[in-house]
Formats: sequence, C-alpha cells, structure tokens
Amino acid sequence: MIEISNLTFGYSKKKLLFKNLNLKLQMGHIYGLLGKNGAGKSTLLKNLAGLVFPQEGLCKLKGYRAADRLPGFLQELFFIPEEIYLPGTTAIQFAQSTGHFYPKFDEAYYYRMLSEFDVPHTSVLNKLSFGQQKKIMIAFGLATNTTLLIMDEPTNGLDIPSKAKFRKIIAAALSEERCIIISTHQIRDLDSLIDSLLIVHEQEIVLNRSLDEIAEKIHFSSIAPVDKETIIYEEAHRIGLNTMSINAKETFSKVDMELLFSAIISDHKSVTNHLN
Amino acid sequence: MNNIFSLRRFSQLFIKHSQEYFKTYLLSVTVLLALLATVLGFTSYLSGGNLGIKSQYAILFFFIIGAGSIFTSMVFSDLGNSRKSIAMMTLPASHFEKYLVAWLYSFVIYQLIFLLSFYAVDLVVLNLQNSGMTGKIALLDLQNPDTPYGMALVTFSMIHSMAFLGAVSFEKLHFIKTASLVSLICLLLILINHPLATTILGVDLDKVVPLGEVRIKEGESYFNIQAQLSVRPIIQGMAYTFVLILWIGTYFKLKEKQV
Repeated sequence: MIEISNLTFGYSKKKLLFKNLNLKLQMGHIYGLLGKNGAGKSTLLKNLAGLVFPQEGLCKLKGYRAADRLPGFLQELFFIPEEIYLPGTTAIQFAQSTGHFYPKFDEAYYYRMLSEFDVPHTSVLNKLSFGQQKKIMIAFGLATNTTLLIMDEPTNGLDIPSKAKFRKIIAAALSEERCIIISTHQIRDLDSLIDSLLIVHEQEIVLNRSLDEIAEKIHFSSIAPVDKETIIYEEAHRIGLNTMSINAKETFSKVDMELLFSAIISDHKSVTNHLN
Repeated sequence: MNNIFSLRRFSQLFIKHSQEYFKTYLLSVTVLLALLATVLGFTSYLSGGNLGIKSQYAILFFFIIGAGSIFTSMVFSDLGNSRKSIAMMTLPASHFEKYLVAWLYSFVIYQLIFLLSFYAVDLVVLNLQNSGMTGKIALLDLQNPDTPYGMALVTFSMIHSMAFLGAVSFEKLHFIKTASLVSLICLLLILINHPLATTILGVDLDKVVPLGEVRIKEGESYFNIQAQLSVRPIIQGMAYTFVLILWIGTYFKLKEKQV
C-alpha cells in the first residue's frame, strides 16, 4: 500500500500546494490523477517518488519513506516523468546496464513491448523522436515490474495508434501486486483504462473513488432526466445537454470523466459531498 | 538488503556510468592531450628547446589544478537538468554509491589519466627537444624533494573539494559560480587577515600572507615569521581536514538534492 500522511508541501513556505493531505492507494488499481494546470499533480507524483521533500508529513511505500530515496524503495518504484531522459546507448544496452538495478526486471517482456510499440532495438536512444523515446521508457518501466509505476502525461508525444496500444498494454500489465498512477490532461486517453479517479484541487485531494463507486452514485447522461431536481451538474453542448444526476434508480451509466472533472473544479463541494 | 553500500550495486553503477559517459570522457582526454601538447611544446620552443624540470613541474601543477577544477565542477551537472536528475535520483542505488562514482572519477581516475597524459606528452616533447642537443634534459621526477607530488596533491585536493561541493550546490554554471565564490572568500580572508594578525601580534606588520607568514618591520630591519618545518605536517593535516569536511558536506548536499 502507498500512503501519504498529513503531507504539507509548497515550493515556498508562503505558498503551499498541499496542506495536510492524506491519501491511501491500493495495489491492483490504475489511478487516474486529474487536476487543473498548477494544481500540483506533478508535484504530488514527485513527492511520492521522493524527488521533492514535504515540509510536513510523509509518503510511504512498503515501509520506506520516499524522501530517504533508499535503494529498497527505489527498486519498488518506477517514475516516467513528462520530460524524459535517455542516454546515448541502444535499447539493448540500456536494458543491460539499467535492468539489473530492478530485481524483478523481465528482459524478454521489455523486448516484447518494444516490438509491440514498433521501436527499433538497436537505434541510439537519444537520437530517436520524443514519441519513440517515450515508448521505450514505458516499455522499460513496465518490464521493471515495480510495485508502483508512476506516469506523468505518458501519452504526450504518442501518435494515435500508439495511444491505443498504450491503453491495451497498461491494462494487461496490471496485477494484484502492482499500482499504477497516471497523471494526464488528456482524459480521453485514460478512457477504459483507469479504474479509480483521483482529483487534486485547492490544496487537497477532493476525490479518491473507483469508477464503479462513482457510477453507483451518479448517473451520467446526454439527455436531461425527467426529474430535474436530481441534476447536480449540467453542461450545455452544441446539440443538447450533458448532465450528472443523483443515481436514485441505480441504473448504470459510463462515467464521463471530463464532465465529472468540470463539475468538481467549478462547484466541487456539492459533487464531492455527494460522492464522499 | 544493504541500503547504504553494496559492492555489486556499486560495480553496476560504475559500469553504467562509464558506458554512458565514455564518449564525453574520451573527448575530454583528447582536449587535455591537445592542450598539454600545445603548452609543453610552446614552452619548449620559447625556451630554445630547454624545457627544464621546474618548467615541467609548474605546468603539471597548474594544469592538474586547472583542468581538475573544471572537470570536477561538471561531475554533478546532470543534477542541474531536471530530466537527467530524475533519471539519476530514481535509479535504485544509494546516495553513497552515486557519490562514490562521482568522487572516484573526479579525484582518483582523473589524477591517473592526467598523469598518464602529462607524461606521454612530456616524453614526446622532451624526445623531440633532446634529439638535437648534447646536454639532455631529464623527465620530471615527482619523488624529487624539489618537485614533490605531495604539494600538488594537497593543493589539488583542496581545489577538488571546493569544486565538488560547488558542483552539487549550484544548478548551472558550476565552475564560474564556484570560482567566483572562492575568489570572494579569498579576498575577504586577505582583507581581514592583516588587521586580525596585527591585533593578535600587537605590532605593525609589513606583510601578511594568509595562513602562511608575517613580516615585521622594526626600524630598518625586517623579520619574517614562518611556520617551522616540524609544524608542516600539522598544516597539511589541517588542509586535509578541510578537504574531508567539504567532501562530507558534498555527500549530504547530494542526499538532500531535490528536483
């Protein structure tokens, strides 16, 4: 389990990004982390990876404090930042020089993923395009089989076919011993991939719920329901109305993450109160 | 699992670093060889083919410090680049192992490569110079008491420790920022040294060399006060203590590094 306790963080003491933030993430889930620009998504991920130190509180993974960055902790974590760095070696040399730092690294799986992504094994990594480099990083991150895999905007730079492959590969890579966190602005890229939603807004995590739990409580529709009093949020579009209403009849609807996100950041209290 | 040091993990890190920076280091050695050839060759030419032991020693002394301080200043340059620093910081190796790789490259391996390069170039220059002469000039002997390596080593160690700390403390322009800061500290030391020594000794001083000597003028006579030879090991010990403190400081700075 990944645990964040009473986390207070800010790049300066006067302007805090998080205050007394608490969060527990379970194994066997793919979390989608959403938030407005500057809400602190990347900073939260950096806190989890021990790349920045909180002013108060801590992040823990398997009993290790993230800020200590001990090898035991780092072996259980793989972080794919938005802007990646790869050395001037080939994908094969990279696996040979870096793979053994991760005890559960699966070399055969890594090459399989590279083939799936159509990435050449023998090209020099830093000479490849940004999208190709991203695919190598994703393939390597998955092959490390770490307990926690963090991806910050992983689909940036990927072409449309690669995004579809990415969703397929990530969904297949999830196991009961693994937790994946994906932060993105492209909510549609996470469609049918994530099973839980984390929304960071105004210094706190305002939502940490599985999509099933959300669908149980809220009904999403592009047609306004008969009982208008149950509507908790609505958004007009060109040909009609997207609505979120209290799911009194317990009918299933697909969670419209974009609509939910807009509802929460515009009037988050009523929506989050209903969901929490 | 040992979270401080594992020989296996350290070896893997050392090999990874060597593989990834091989080309950069090779290029640096080529530049060093070219500069040494230029300076040694030009000095030999200017002195009419008389590149003496003292000249060789002076070139070695200033080159080992100059090139070493620039190289050491850049040893943690990856930490100033957020993409590279994330890759470095999240690699499963301890802070100590990462520190040790940087220290080994900048202090031990650098000296070995430098001395090999220096002697290779010096040998070629001396052979060329001696070929047309009757009285041959010998190769620099670093065990000779007049040209001791110990003197160069203690100075290089001090410069290395300062550059090493600067490399991890500054995000960019490591060498320039470290050199500026060190120059400023030296200037302050020189400025406060005279009034401080005058207060301690209670006499008017003619000349004061920080951490070195003082010269007192009485009438028409001058008196130099220097440390006795027997005290030199203590001064050397103090210099190495200073070096050790900065090396330890660098380790903790690395440990506290954030992106």
